[in-house]
Amino acid sequence: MRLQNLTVIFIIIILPVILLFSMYTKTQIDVLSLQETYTATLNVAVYDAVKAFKTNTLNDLTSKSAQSMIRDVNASINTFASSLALGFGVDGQNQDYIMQYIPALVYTLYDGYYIYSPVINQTTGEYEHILKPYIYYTVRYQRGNIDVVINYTLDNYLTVYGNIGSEYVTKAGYLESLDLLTVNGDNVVYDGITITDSEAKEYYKNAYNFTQWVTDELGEITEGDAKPIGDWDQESYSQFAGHTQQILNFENAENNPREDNSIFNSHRKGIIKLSIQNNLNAAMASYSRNSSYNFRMPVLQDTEWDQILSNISVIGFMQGIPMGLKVYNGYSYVVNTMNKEMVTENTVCFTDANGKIHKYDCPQMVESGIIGHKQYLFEKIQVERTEEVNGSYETTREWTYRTQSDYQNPTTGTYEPFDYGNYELCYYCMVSNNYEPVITNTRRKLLLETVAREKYRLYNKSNELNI
Amino acid sequence: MGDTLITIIAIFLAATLMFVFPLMSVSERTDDITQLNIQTLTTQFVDNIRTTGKFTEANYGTFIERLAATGNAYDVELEFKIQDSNPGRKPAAGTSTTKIGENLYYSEYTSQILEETRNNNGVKNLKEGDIVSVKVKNTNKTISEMLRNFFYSLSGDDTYQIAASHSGVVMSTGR
Repeated sequence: MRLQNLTVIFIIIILPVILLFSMYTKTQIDVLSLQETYTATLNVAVYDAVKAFKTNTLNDLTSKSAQSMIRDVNASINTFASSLALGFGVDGQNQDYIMQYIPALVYTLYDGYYIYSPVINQTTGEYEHILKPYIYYTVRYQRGNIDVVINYTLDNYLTVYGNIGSEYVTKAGYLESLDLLTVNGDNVVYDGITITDSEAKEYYKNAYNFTQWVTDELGEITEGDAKPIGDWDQESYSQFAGHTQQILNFENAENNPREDNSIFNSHRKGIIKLSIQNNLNAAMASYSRNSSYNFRMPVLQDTEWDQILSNISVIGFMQGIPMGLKVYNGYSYVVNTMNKEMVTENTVCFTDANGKIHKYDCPQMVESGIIGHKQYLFEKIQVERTEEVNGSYETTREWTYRTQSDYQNPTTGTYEPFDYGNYELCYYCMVSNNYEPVITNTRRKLLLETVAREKYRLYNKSNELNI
Repeated sequence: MGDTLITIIAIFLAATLMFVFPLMSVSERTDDITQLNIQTLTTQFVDNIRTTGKFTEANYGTFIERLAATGNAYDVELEFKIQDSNPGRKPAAGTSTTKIGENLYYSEYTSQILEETRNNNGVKNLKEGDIVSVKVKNTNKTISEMLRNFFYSLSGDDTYQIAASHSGVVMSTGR
């Protein structure tokens, strides 16, 4: 055969191969970039949901009562749905089209969580998204004559109810390490620091009594005693079987409820994670029963759980959207660090004599006239004002800062007007967030007292029940 | 004599057609796949910063390692736009307080960011509202570029074959 023929044959063979290969690669690239677009859209939608939730709860004086919370969560879900629809270019009536790919949306709140997922409507036989009843982070412990249910929260607050021997108990309170905290009459010392603020003192006294009670009565409970509330998820709790660490013994110096890695906290996180996983799995599995796509809960990484379980957050799942060679399966979570549902060392800030807002360990903070605050109070709020102008009423809306006419200065005890708008964020800590921390005993005391005071003032559902 | 010349030309053409073109095509596909790979890596890297609010040396190191694993050398440009919410805080008398979103940003670039991170135990915290953007470009010549330069060459500083970028607003304040 002549060389020319050979070349032609070779080209005839190799050309389609190259064409096919390049087409395949191109499709793959398209699929992947589509996947990225979807993930970005989901991210944005979840972020919008968190943003809406934040705005609503911060501007709502009653946001911690259950009814009000449901309203805020529903508003946030609406934002999520419209943001997602907008991202996909389907709007208005077609919003439902995109929602069918959302097997679940989870709101992890302070003492429990909401799951928003589709359930079958018995009358129409079609799936509808509903907000499922609030689920508390609960677990049951049975040991000897103890049979109690414990409600965990995202921090060191705990509610206990159930039988200890023949006595039925309901108690709630904050836990503190008995190794670090000593209360002697009116004398409160935490980790070598004497607490002087009256409300902080009350917090520590209550916490001391409660922790003492928990340690005395429930101290012998081990991880292995954990049982589900119902019968249906027995199996998943078997992972705790045989664990003999005492979770509620706070005389143990290793078990500091403020430390992230303490026995109490790792168990608490384990329980919350298990509860969310079980309920989410159930929600997704029931949705996939009647659908062509098999909705499954993706495996979230440990670092992600860690973030989710220490903050109020929203997790959105999106699955089943066909895209070329693959089917989309993704999730996104956004944590909300600015809220009034919980107080942590990170959600309080300090104003100093220079009119700047600082973190407690900022090197630029002047150590005089320091007052501790909850950080969200420095956010702008929208106010509506109705005034009579020439005989008719006019409503104006504006964004402004909070002011308080009778603010009690915790350091001096006097009442004075306080304008949150008069303070500027410190460039070193609040704006750029990078600084060499300066930690002195005065500052630690300030932090301990502010966190304790704000926790004492915080509204908890169980305060209302007087338990 | 004439036949020999034709044969030599034919061999030359055949070699070009049979080796160089398939090679070019395959190497371009390789670049496409690399492109895809680094786009995914960049997106993941940026989204991780956005959701955690943290830029860590460890994550940056992993990112660079993964980029290097594609067999090319890259130039990574980081830019963080830090939101400065102070100018809007104290409205001057007479100005409207109804405006929101009039924030200013100041930018930090790769070397500043890396230096700050090193000085701060390998972590740089960002806050909600800051903007992260990362650009990645290849700096070496890939095989497909070399082959292409054989036929026609592009000149200039900004000739890169593989590039990826991603940016977004930080969604939670890093601690």
